[in-house]
Amino acid sequence: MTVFLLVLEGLLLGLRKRGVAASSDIMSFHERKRAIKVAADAALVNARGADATRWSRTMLADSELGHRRRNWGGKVSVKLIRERVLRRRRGHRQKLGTVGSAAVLARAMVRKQTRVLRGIVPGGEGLDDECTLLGETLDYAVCLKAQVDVMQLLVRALQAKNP
Amino acid sequence: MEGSRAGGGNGGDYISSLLNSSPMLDFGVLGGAPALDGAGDCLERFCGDPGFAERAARLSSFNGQRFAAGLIGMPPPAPGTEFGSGSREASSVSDPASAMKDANAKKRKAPAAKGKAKEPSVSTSGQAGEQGESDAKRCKTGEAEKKVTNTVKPKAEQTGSDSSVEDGEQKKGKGKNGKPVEPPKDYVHVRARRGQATDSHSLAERVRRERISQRMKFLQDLVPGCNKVIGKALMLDEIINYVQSLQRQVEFLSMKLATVNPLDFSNLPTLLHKDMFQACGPSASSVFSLESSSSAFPFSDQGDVFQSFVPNSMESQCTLNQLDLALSQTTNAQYGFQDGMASTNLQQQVRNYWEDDLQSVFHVDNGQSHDNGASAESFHGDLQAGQMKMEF
Repeated sequence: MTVFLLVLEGLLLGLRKRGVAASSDIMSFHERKRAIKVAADAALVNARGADATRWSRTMLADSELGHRRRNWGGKVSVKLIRERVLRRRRGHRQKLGTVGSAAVLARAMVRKQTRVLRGIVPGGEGLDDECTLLGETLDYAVCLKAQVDVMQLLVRALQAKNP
Repeated sequence: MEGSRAGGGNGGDYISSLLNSSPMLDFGVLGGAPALDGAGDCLERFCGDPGFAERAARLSSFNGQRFAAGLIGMPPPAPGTEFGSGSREASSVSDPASAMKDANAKKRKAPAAKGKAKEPSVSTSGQAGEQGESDAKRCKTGEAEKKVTNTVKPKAEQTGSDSSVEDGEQKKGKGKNGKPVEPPKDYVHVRARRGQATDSHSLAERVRRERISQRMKFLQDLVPGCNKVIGKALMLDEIINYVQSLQRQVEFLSMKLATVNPLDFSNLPTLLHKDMFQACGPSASSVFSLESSSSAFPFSDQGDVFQSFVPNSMESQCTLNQLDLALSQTTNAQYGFQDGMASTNLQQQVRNYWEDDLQSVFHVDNGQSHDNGASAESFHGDLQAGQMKMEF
């Protein structure tokens, strides 16, 4: 079962559940957009397996803070606290001084980029290991691509019907 | 060196440790040896050569586990025969050894791909292997992984950490008697390349570096336009741009979807059918069934999406399992039709592995009760985590 189809199915279910399928009188535009996005993310996480990857767990945790707390309560709070602590710890290590050789420059750039990547990939903040970060990125990128494809398909399908 | 050691005792222990660490070997070969602990004795029984253990120990220093595998392979055809010079022994051993080792490695990789621990054996890196990796990557790294043997050194040269590793290996090996299919879970086994530093830290470092480069390669295949770029910094740049653009696309598309006014799903099967038919023929009908099954679900309240969502996804697995076969051949088209990007081999493999894993996961999950979505999900997650424990 490909990720794509899982996401598709999940998205449709989620949309239906959230009442987005109804006419637009019930929800404002932004609400709908937000609901769609949330449903898409939910579908993505569930397609991947909610506990399977770190980023999926993070996304689940993040969205659940908007909703009720459940059995995951412990995990959620621990994760957030840990990430906050790590963020603070990692925050201000700036290397001053003259620029060294090209290798040093490259290393600095790489470090900066991994920091950016951590900000992008959900759950990246708590990771010290660059290796797992790359793995998470890989996973996340594939799933995002699937999500984008699903949504494009939907848009195309729905717009073909209503020009 | 080894010659000075008591030949039978230490050499036997050593060999038995080597044997224990390769559980794939057919121990029936040992001719009814009661336990692996007696492997050293068995060997001596086989060869009847008192100096054999000594030579074995010496050879093992540069043949590693291959030799042990070869020991098992060799004695049965020629039990009790005395081997010739050490070099001849080495060469004669190496051929069946390599074949056996490859078989071992392959056999070991298959279960290892699921359950193998990838933590560096002596590394002090604080990060426990995260359980969060796709099986695709797991399998791929399992394939490309370095040999599963531990670096073998004569005991005299072992550092404390290495001997602890070997002890751990021994322990595990003996614990594995009952289940020969079980690969060692806690340690990563790396062969030290010739001429490279073999102390624990650099080994762990090297493992880490190899893993990183492997993943960079995957990412390179995944992200379009990364092929031309070489170098970590530039590639990371591309990757960041790619992920950011994907996220922005999601935003944009969700906005676009929101504008579609009557968002009705009744016509969806036909529309999807038309749309996907061009891309992937046989899957269209399966999407049909998917749609009909999804329409059968009751509309629960607008509570938590996740909680209500998961049981439904579990329920729909029955249909999904039927779709598996139909869809397996359409994976190639799945990602191709959107942007025309020719799928590389790697992508196909990634998709196939994911498919297999998801399939297996679903098969297992079918038996789970899902009264509580969270518990089911966590179990599902635990199952996967147990399978790929500490892989990444």
